[in-house]
Amino acid sequence: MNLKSAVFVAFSVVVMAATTAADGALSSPTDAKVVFDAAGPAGMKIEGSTSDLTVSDDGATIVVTVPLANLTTGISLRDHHMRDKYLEVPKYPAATLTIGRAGLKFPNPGERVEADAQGTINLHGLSRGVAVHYDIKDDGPTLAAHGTFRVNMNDFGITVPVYLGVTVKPDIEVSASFHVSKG
Amino acid sequence: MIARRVVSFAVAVAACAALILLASPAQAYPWMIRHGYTGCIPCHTDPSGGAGALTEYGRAQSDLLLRMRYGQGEGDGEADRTAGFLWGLVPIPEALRLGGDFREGYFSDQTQGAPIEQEFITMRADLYGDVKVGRFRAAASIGYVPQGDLTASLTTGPDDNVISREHWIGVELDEEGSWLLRGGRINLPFGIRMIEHTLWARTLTRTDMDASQQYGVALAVSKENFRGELMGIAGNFEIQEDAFRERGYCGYFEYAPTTTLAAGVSSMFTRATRDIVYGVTDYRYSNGPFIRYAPWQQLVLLAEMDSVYQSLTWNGHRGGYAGFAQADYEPTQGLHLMLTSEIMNSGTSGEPPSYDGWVSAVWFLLPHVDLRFDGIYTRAGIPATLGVPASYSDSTTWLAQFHVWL
Repeated sequence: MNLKSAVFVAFSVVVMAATTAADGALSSPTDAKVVFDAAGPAGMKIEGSTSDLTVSDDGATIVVTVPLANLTTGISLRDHHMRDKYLEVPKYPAATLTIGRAGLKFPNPGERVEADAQGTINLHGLSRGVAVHYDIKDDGPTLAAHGTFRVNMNDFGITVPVYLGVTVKPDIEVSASFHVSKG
Repeated sequence: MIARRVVSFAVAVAACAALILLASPAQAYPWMIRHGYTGCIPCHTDPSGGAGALTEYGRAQSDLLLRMRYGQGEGDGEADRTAGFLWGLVPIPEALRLGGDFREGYFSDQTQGAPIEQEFITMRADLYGDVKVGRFRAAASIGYVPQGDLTASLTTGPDDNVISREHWIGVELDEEGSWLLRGGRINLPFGIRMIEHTLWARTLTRTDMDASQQYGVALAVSKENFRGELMGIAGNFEIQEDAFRERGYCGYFEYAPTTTLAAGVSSMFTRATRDIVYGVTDYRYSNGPFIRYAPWQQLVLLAEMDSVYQSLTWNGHRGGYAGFAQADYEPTQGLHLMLTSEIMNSGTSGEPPSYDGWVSAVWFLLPHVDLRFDGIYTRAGIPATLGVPASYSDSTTWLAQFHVWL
C-alpha cells in the first residue's frame, strides 16, 4: 500500500516536474487517481486506490505526496490492516516521490511524450530509488499525466501481509494519473 | 382435447421443475466479485468455486462480508470466532477443511389449469471435507436426499438415498496452488456457478452442481487475471449401464481485466451411446459466453448464454439455447435483492421460447444462517404437435428456504 502510494507520488512528482519545466510553476493536480495492484496466492488480486495527491515544486525538483489515510481496497478490515498494521499510517502518514526536473521530458503543445525517469520514493520511513515509466500529454491549458512503477514491500521494511493462510506477494505495481495546469 | 394436452404438458413441466427444485442447491456466490474477488481459490477449496469446503480465509470473509453486521462495522475487528467449523466450537487442523450444509424449503407451484402443488422439501443435507497434505489434495462429500439426485446416489433406492456429489484426489502443480490436477467425481467446469442451480442454463447443459457431476480428470488454473478448468469426462459411474454414460470434455476460461469485471466462455462436448433422455446415441455440444460485473459495490450483474446442439442418431438434430441475466443488489450488508430473467428453447421442433422472471431476497441473518425467498413466474413454450399449434403455459412458483451451514 505505502509502496504503491509512494510510487504514485513519485509518478505524480515526475509529471509535475515535467509540467513545471515546460511552463513554470505547477498548480494543484485534478482528477488524480493512484492505484496499486497486489497479488495473493493462486490468482488473488487486491486493488487499492486513493485520489489524494499533492505536488510541490521548488524549481529543481518536484515532490509528489500521496497521503495514505484514505487508501482503500474495498474491504474495510483489509484497509484497517493495511493502514495500521503494515503501512503504519499514523507513524508514516504519506508517501512521496521526488524527481529532478532535469530527468523529465515535456511535450510540445498538443503532443505527447513517453519516457522513463529515475526518482526517489519515501515510504514507511525509508527512501529508495525507483524507475518510473510515464507519459504526458499536452491538452492545452493542462497536462494529462500517467505513470507506473513497481516497488517491493521488503525494500521498505513493510511486513508482508499474511491473513489466515493467504500471503500477499511483496511486489506491488503502482499506477497514477492526473491532470495538472501548466501554471 | 387441445386444452387437455396443454394442461398435461404444463403439469409435466411443473413436475420436472418440482423435481429439480427438490434437489439441493449448492453454496456459490459469484456476486462476491463486488468485493474484488474474481477468482475462487482464496475462499473455496474447489478451484472453480461453489462446491466443497471453505478455506479458513473464506470462512473469515463469510463473516466479514456476507452476513448482516447490524451496525457493527466490519472494519472494527477480526472475523468472529463463530466463523470457524461448527461455529468455532470444534477446532480442526489447518490441513483439514470441513463443512456441511442443511437447506430446507417450502415450495408452492401453481401451473395454469392444474392443481396447486405445495410441500416441504429437504434440499440439502451434506457433509464435506478437503484435506491438504503438502501439495496433495483429497476431497469428498456425503449426504442424504429424500428424493431426487439419483445420478449422485451411492445407494439404489428410489427415495431416501445416500449420495456423494463429489470425491476426488489431486495434486497442486506449483507451490502457491495456482495449478491443480485432479481426478475423480468433479463438478463440471462450465459457466457461472451459482446457487440458482435450476436455471435453464444449468439444466439444459446438464452442468448443475446437484447431481450432474461426472468422473474424469481436470486441470484447473487460477492466475491474477484469468482462471479456467478443462476436464476430460469419463462418465458418471453412478449410472449403472455404461451405454448411458457421457464421455467427452468440458471446460471454461475466464479473463478478468479488472477486479470487478470478468468475462469468459465455456465449451462442452459429450457422446453417449444411449442418451439418458432420448435413448439413442447422442452427440451433445454446448458453448457460450458469460460475464460478471460490479459497476459499483452494491450492484452485481451476471449473465450467461449457451447454445446446446444435440445430434441424435437416426432421430435428427436438436438445436436449442438457454441464458439468464441477474442483477444482485445489496442495499446493506447481508441483504440481497435479486432480479433474474431467463430464456430457453430446448430445441424441440416447433417449440416457442420459454421465459421466466425471478424476484428473490436473501438475508444472511446470523453466522452460518440465511433465509431466502423466491417468486418465479414462468411462461413455458409448448411445441406444436399433431396439428396442435404451439402455445404457452404459465406457472407461478414460490419458494422459501432456510439454510444452515457448518
